[in-house]
Amino acid sequence: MSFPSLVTGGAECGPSNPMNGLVKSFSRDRSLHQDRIGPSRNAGGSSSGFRTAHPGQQQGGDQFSQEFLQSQQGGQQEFFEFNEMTKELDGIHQHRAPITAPGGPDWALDFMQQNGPVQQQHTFHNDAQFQEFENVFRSAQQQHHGPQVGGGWQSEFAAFEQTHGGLDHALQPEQIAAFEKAFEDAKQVSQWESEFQTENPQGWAAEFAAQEANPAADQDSKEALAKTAGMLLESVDPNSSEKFKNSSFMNFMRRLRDQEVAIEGNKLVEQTTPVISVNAGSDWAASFNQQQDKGKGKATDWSNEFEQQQQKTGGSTWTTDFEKRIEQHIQNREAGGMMSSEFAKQQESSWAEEFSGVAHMAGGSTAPGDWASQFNDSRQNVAQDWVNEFNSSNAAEELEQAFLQQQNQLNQNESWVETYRKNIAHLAQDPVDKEWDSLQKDWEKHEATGLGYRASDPRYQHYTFEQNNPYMVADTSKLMDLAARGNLTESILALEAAVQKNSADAAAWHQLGLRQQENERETMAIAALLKAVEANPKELDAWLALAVSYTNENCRVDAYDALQSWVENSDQYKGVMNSVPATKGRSAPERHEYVTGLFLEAARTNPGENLDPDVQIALGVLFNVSEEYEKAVDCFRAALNLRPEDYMLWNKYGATLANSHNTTAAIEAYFNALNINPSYIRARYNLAIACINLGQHREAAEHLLSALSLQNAGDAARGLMVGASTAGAQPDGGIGGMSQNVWETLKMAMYMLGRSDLAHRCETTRDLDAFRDEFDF
Amino acid sequence: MFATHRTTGYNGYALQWSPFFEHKLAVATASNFGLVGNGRLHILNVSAPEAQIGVERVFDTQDGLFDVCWSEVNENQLVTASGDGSIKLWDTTLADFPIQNWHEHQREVFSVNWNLVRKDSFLSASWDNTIKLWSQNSPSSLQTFKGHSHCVYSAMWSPHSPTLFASCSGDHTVKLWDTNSPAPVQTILAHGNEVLSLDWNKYQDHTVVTGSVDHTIKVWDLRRPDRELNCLRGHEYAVRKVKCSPHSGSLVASTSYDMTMRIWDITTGDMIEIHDAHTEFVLGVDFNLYRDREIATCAWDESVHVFQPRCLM
Repeated sequence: MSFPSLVTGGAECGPSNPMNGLVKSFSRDRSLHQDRIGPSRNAGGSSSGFRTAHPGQQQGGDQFSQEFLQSQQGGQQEFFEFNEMTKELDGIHQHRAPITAPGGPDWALDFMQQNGPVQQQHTFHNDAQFQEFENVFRSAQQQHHGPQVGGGWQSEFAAFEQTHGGLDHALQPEQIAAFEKAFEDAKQVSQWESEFQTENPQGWAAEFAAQEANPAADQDSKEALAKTAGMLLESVDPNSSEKFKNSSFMNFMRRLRDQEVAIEGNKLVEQTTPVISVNAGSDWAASFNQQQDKGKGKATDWSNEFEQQQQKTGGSTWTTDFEKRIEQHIQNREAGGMMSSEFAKQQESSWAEEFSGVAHMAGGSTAPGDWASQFNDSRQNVAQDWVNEFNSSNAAEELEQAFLQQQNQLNQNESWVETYRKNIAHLAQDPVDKEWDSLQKDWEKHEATGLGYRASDPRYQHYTFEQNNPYMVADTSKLMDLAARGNLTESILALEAAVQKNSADAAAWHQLGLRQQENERETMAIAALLKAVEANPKELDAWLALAVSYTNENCRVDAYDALQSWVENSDQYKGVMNSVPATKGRSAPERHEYVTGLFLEAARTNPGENLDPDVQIALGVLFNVSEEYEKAVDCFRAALNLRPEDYMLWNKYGATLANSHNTTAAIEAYFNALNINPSYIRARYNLAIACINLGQHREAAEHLLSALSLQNAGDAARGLMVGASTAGAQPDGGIGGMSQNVWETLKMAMYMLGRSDLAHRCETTRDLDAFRDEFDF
Repeated sequence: MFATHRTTGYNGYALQWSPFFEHKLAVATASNFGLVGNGRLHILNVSAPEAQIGVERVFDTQDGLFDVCWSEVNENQLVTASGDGSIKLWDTTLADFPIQNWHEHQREVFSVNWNLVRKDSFLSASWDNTIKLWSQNSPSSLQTFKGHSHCVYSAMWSPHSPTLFASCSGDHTVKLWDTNSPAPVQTILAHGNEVLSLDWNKYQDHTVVTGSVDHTIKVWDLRRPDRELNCLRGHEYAVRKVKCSPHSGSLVASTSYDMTMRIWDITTGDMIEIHDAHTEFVLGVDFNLYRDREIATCAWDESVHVFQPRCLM
């Protein structure tokens, strides 16, 4: 079988390729996992691993090959770089091996290579000796001296051997203590971290790929499939439901796992003599492989795959699953004599914990660190016997013992592992993970009621002022005047100065909130408006504006609350509270019905010519929330009759028309808004969207470009006034939060116009001048 | 009414009601759960009002079928997505063999979707990370869209624009594309896990619904791509398919590896129906375009269900 063809990805996986069947068994199988019922991606682990490891195929490709080359060349050097740390451990060195270069990945690889021998024999000695672990390790090393993985680390080991070879130590309790102390010291050496940092996950991938590239037997793929099936099964609690218990698919997976059936070519074949070849080593290695795969810059860690419900606590959840898996592994495999239960039991706690550490780290560049340390940990305690039994015929047995031994060691050194993990925790995440984390946090900020979000964002509670506000020195009495005359930026700064001087100025807070709405900063608008109603609950318009902002933020229930507060605090309308029967319900539909009832009642008290535009606006907002756009249009139109100069109201009216698919009327409304306030960016943006909907891409582009140039002018003005410090204060660039959206939309419009050259500029240079020659703005 | 049809030996992957005939239902199936082996396309006739399901025709394929969609121009034609990367065009008036076979995708094709506005082309989404645009009259694909960094599970045309479509992928994103542009016009970080399915709201041109391995269904306003409008929780395993009702802007049906099909009101976020009668993973679901209360599901239990959900009665 041609593994290289796998490595090169899909290109050769077509139907003509005899590998097709196998590849498919991998990838299909993987899809089961991905589509997921569950977590694992064993087979996928290998195929994806290839794919990512293949230079140029994915983002890390080039980098990985470089780094891999580096590590090959620099192996010897790396060893010497460790010298400094080695010194720290001098006390120990007199008795035992030093910490060598990060050995984790190599070890993992070795472990995988042990698959063959391990399959042969499975006697298990509980009184394992460290020595034998070393033997195994040595024999693994031996294998590695083959040409395919010519790696720097061999030379490290060679060097190591020269220095420390032939030492033979039994592990004594005091040595353990000394060891622990040494690690306490070691972990303070910053180099320790940086060493691990430089170790790159891609390097692993390369090694794994190399490993997989070894001509493997067809048997391996069967095993992989069996393991995948096993993991899939174990990700589902069969007792969770009758359906899963009786599922024929689950049963099929069971048979695959137990290799009663296997896939050969394009067929499903009953296996007369189940091939027992799954073992601790390969299973572990497969897990490792998968985990590695996930670590390569993908956003999730493995834990995600295992338990999607708890992304936050990925590592630990994963651990739980892993424990479960191991438990089951014991049950499943015991009959086959695969693995001693004692062995497995010992794994449960510490191995799983160890894995959880790795799972945490998998997203980052330091993934090997934990492994490396733990591996080194073992090595530290392992008596060295480099001379004897180079090629052990009992590799399997020793491997298991070695594993056990390592577990013992880990148990003993648990506290160190904990400490170490803490120390490197900050290295564990890569930017992608962080991005997802922050999305996750965003999500949590909005407590899902299933009916919209609640405004629980702390930023709503605290208004952050612009720093170095030049208006702070202005005369307080003139600030409101300045706010009324200035452009948006000036106005906001003046109002901020006003409320900083008098935080009880409800009117100023209210104005500030409105200006921030205009500025497309809904969060700050909410913060300001909350201050306004706190200072004066009778500031009715602030309640209304707050409801609008909450609606824009999709915090529906809060919008209802704000509107109800409007009624409660209105001297004119609070009477309707008594005439509309109160409901207990807090769900969005119930709240909607109740609050709409309040305002309809309020509207009834002032029919005809005495129509209150505020009541109409509130109803318009309510009908927008419930997506009854026709009704909302009527309400806003009624309000506009009384307030024809309210450009924000014109914009609301236009947006509502657009939502009810009346684009032409919407455009008219936006133009009205812009006639009153030509620098109203939101209206201009909405206008552009409406143009796009009508297929008028050129007009859309010009409106977008106008909006962008307005934003630039605003930025320039603020820059002049406030100085450079503001540059960092509003990281999303431009005035307000619109800039990104506008550029994205402009990009789309450019594509529509067949101008991919200019579309490209929307992502790269974002230079408005590039558009000036061709567009009018 | 409740009718069942057995697709013995074949596990259901996807189904679609005909856009031309109220009684025709196409079901894409694969043997051995799609892991390995043959596929079969079933053309079923569902009579009303007492649903009786008859078989009009079956087509067998060398490889499992993962998706099917009817042509919007020829009432007898439909395309299927194969595990071997091929796409086949079938004519229900002709026995046995496809009238066209395209083989460009390097890996499994997981979805096919016919253009709803111009009706002259269709899309395929594949595990080779690409989306391809096809015309039934062209021997090769018209265009290939690259941009996803992982398997593309679905690519769906906007029902409102002839050139706009959306795709979802194992890379956790939803991407919006315009056929005039080789690159996506917008990318949404949609879920914290793989996004398996996506559909457009038929009544609001800016609303898209996604289903993910993270068990949730999210409702998106494409004008506000930074955050979903609503997140529907309830499925206990990955959501395999989401389908917006052609009869109501607020109804969405979803299928899941939790072996249920559920119906949701996306405006309130309420789950209003659970169909729990399948005994294996439920994959396919579709609303009958003509009988507005009728829904069909297919599952790995080798059965197709046609019924009227209580919530629609």
